[in-house]
Amino acid sequence: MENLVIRCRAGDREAWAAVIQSHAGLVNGLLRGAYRLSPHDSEDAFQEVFTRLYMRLGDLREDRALPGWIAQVTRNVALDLIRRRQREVASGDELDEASFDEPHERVLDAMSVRQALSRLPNQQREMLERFFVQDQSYSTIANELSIPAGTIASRISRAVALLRNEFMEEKPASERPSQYE
Amino acid sequence: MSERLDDDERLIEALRLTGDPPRAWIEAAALIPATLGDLASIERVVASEQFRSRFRESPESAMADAGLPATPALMAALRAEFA
Repeated sequence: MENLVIRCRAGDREAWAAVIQSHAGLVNGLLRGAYRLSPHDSEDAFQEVFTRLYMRLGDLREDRALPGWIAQVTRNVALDLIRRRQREVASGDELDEASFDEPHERVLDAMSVRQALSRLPNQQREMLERFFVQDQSYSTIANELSIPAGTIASRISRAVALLRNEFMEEKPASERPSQYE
Repeated sequence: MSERLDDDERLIEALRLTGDPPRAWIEAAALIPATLGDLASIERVVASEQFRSRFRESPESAMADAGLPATPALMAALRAEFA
């Protein structure tokens, strides 16, 4: 990303769209995957996160601050929403706010994985996205890609190994296992 | 590089969190600057003590007077901002 924050502050709509596009997965992953909000609440929270970001662009100096800032705001928006829902149903349950901190680490991992995923060949990337991200069954994947259902598990396994390899390659050779499968 | 991602279980868990939201959410968020107006005006309004106290009394009227659209996301963001 090249100075997206500065460009957004100057009113560059393309830069704003790029910020959203590159962080939409992070926000969605937190809201749906980590904080388990309903689709409806997630949609509201998603818009609120980016509204808060727009209002606070003046506080940000560098693009690299964006993921951490957005993750923190997403956490706060999700917490507010859950508190509001609890009040609506007059729930006396205590909200465990500490449990909302742990997903940050998971989301940083997710962002690394997202980048690694983009470096994989299309076939492997598609296999992983269909199975793990879109939750498609073996038979759906087999039908849509016109490949034998019996080969899906091994294809997924090979794609996971390739993805893992993306991280292993950053390590010194002495720390890498000799076989990835 | 995350050391944690050496582990397949962790890698797959992270993979599950990488999905994009529905296209419509992204398109709606892309319209936020057009809906809210230029950043300098928003910052001026938000920094105004008069607006803050008006907003606490009557959020909708304060928004209307300031020429801000009373979208649910902006109302919620302002409530959080002034809490």
